Amino acid sequence: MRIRYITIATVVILLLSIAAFLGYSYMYAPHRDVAREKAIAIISATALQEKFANPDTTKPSWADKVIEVHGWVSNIEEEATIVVDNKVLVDLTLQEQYLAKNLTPGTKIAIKGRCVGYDDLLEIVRIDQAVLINNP
Amino acid sequence: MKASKNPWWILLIAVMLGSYTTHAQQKYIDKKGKIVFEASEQLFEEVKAETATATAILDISTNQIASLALVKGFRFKNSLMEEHFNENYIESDTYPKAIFKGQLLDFDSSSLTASPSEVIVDGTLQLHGREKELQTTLQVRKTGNSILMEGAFIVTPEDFAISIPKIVRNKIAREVQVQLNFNLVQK
Repeated sequence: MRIRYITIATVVILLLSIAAFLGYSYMYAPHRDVAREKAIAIISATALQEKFANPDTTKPSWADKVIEVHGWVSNIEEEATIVVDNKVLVDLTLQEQYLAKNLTPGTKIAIKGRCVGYDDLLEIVRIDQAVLINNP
Repeated sequence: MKASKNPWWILLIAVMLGSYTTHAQQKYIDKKGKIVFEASEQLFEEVKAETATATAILDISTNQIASLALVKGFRFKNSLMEEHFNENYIESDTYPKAIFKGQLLDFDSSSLTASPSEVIVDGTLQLHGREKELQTTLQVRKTGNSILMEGAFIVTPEDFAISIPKIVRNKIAREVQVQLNFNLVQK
């Protein structure tokens, strides 16, 4: 009788801890890691801007999707924001921001990051959480 | 006779060039504006998100100001909260932008100094397919080539027809505090 009671108690505690663990993992799941995700498309900065400026409403938007973009650096703003071909504004991840300092206007680059959306005031596409891709 | 006419033309050209360059310098732009909103309730997890990628453009010849924030650019500490915010509440796939268009009242950019002065801004905030009239006081100052703006205002989810489900209603404040911080650089 006593052994049976202990067994039941153990099973209940075990199930509760599994439930608590699953609940916690769901509630406090880590943020997506854009750097590890595979890009859904590889596109030039100019073509990407064109896609957002004149969207094909029959197709789903690329907002929130991971995209690989290539082009030439127009300039670096506020240290770590890279303007590509005056069409795309790229914010690197915190870990990669120091790399922006070495970029000079005219450099060909490729980056992978998350499309945030289209900024009609500046007529640019914004990308965040980006990483530089070597050997574009 | 001919020589005496020349300076007049030169002066005209100089004035035209001068007015052209002043026209080009009337815009101040921030591409990395900071906006934070918070709707936290005591004892519950903080409901707070921020973006550092808002755009703001101020035209000092008309005192018109426009600002745009991409909703998906707002980051929460909690990824699940960010997901729910985007998918269930603000519906950022359908309404990707928050736009403010307004006017600085009785504002004279030439009288700005390094110490902040109060400026009233009046305009409309567009979000979630709805519009709301908004008036608030900004702290504005000038350093070098840039105009710095700080301000705060309060909105409610009902203002923009955002419904909060009953199950989380007591965890999200009825009033949402919004803070902004722009560093507009002369262009």
